[in-house]
Amino acid sequence: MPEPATPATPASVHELATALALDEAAYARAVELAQLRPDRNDWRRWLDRFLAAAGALLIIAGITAFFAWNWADLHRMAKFALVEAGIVAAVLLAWRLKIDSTAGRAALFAAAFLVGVLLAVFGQVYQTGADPYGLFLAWAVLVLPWALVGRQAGLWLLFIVLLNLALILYWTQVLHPPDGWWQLTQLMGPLVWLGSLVLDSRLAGWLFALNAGALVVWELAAGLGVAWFQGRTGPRLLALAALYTVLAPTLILIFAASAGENAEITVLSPLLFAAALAACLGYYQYGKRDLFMLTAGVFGAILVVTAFTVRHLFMNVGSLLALAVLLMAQIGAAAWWLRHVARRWQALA
Amino acid sequence: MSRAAVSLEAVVAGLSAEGLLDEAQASEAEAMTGKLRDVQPWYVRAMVGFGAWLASLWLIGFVAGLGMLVGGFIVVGLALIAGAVALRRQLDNDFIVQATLASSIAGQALLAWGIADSGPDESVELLCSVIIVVSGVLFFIFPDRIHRVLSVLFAASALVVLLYVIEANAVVPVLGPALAAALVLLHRNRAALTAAGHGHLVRPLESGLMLSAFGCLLLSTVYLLPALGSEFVFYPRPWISTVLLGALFLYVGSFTLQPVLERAGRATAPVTYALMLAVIACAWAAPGILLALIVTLLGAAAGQRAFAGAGIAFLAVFVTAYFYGMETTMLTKSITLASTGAAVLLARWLLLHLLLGARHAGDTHV
Repeated sequence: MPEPATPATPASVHELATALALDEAAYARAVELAQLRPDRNDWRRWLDRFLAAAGALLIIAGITAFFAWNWADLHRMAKFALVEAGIVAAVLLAWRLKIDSTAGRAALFAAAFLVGVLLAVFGQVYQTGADPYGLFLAWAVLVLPWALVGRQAGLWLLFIVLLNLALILYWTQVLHPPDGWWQLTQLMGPLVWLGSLVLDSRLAGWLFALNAGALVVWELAAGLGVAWFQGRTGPRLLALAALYTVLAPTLILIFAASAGENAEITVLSPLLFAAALAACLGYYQYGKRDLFMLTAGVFGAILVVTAFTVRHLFMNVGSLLALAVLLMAQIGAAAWWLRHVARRWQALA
Repeated sequence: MSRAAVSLEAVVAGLSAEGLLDEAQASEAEAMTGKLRDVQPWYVRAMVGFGAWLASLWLIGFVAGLGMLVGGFIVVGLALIAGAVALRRQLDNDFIVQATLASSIAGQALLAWGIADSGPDESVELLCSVIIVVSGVLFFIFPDRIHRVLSVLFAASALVVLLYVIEANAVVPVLGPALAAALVLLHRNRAALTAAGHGHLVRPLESGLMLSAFGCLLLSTVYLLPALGSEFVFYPRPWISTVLLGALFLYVGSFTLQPVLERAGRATAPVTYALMLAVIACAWAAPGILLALIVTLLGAAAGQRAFAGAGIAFLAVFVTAYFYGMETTMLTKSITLASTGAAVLLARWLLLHLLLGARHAGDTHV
């Protein structure tokens, strides 16, 4: 069976030149043969994309800074008009540039994002008193039609993120508001508050179901050949979200003594984590080959084993040495196994 | 930005056919391509790196817990470093890579701790000097890419702290551009350095210099409340960085865009430089934008996606840090960011029309 080809990248060409001690002329020729230098078309494409993205980023940041400077002094109608004008302009731009072009996709995504800004401004101006989960739910509902017609993974990821936020906020504000000192997490900022979800296995379980379900649908759509579901960034983010929302309470459960009496951590989280890990290692090894997913799964397992060892082994200074050796052994073994799997795939290719 | 996936085997075959490889090199190339096929992807390396850091912290805790006398940490630190270097130079498997990386980092931390603990008041200066020297030595003798990148970062960080300790704050705005200039110089002389037998040092040095320059320029967004810092100026005169990075930006533009400029009309070169000067002028208060453009341009010209991506990521990080910094008013930030963005978009429109002859910029989208 022939060996698979090694891609000629700037890094691999440099390593080759270093190992062979190529002279300057040979190095330059190797770079030419590998077609690493951009030609006229490459430059045009790069200038078009990079300068458009960088310019747009800087202008948006500049406009944001301008509104931050005098936002409080603006009339409420001016605020609405500005955000709505942004939405209309972004949609028109997406229509003009076609929603399958890079710029068109970016414009449609910007429009979907500005919908959330409009809802936030509405809540700020009229102080409706509605629960914040409603903002994210309404935002998700309003974005859904654009996700359906937009033919881009980014809009679907935004939609799923909004559903996650709506679920977290509905759970923590309506169904099971935190009491006692857990309420303090609300005062410590949104990230700390969102982080407190790791203290409830039921919420983590629902979030796992949401993200794992979205991942399954995504992989099925990719398998059916839907063009805009072919990239791997979306499923990888969903897999990380699914795996780590049950990993976090699993780790907390291992150190349960410090979680407090109000924490709702149960054995559900480790069970879901074990099931997710088995599915991940099986499907992404023998079904759809994805080394990133395997790495994420193995790394999660290492964290669990290490946490378990820390919980039961940490008694004196000597145990720190044992933990260090154990961790290095686990990481070394994981790296060896991942290399072995990659070689096996290469041999089968 | 490469057009098609060319294999390394095809490159080797091409070099052999043109007589640029001798027999020994050709057989070595075959073994090398097999080895390069096995290179671990970035996320596996990230996992390995995380493990090394955590294990090194535990090793430090273990040694610190032994309750040694003054000077003991220095001895143990040096022993850990020496052991790690010796082992790493002999073996190359995943576990050894892990263990030696963790041991070396732990050894360096213990060495630094021992020095800081045993010295007089001026021990911070001594500590920074020792870190710079040790990092410099380890960069050459520890045969590991991640370790070499860390050595450059440790040395640059120690240098920045040293500058503040000896109250040479005025030099800080020069340091970032100096590191960036070293990066550009290294990038331009890659082939020559490789031919001279230093190829294994080039990539980690480039990565380390790039990350160190990023860190230095982020300092320009830090603002100390007057009540906390009295007359201490954290990053005096950021425009010095802008001027120096502006000059570097023009230099990088001159050689990276040369293949495109030489085939375009006579007016294009002056227009391109005028546009670059306009971007420099607009980014006067935000020098990090110029560093991001320099790194991205270098990456794009060499087909190095990692470099180009790092430049773009730094642009986003710098703009965010600049936005939240309190050194200037929101109005000044707004003018700086929006005018720079407008200059960049104007540059895009003119370059696509003048240089590359696109009838409509939007036509070039893929």
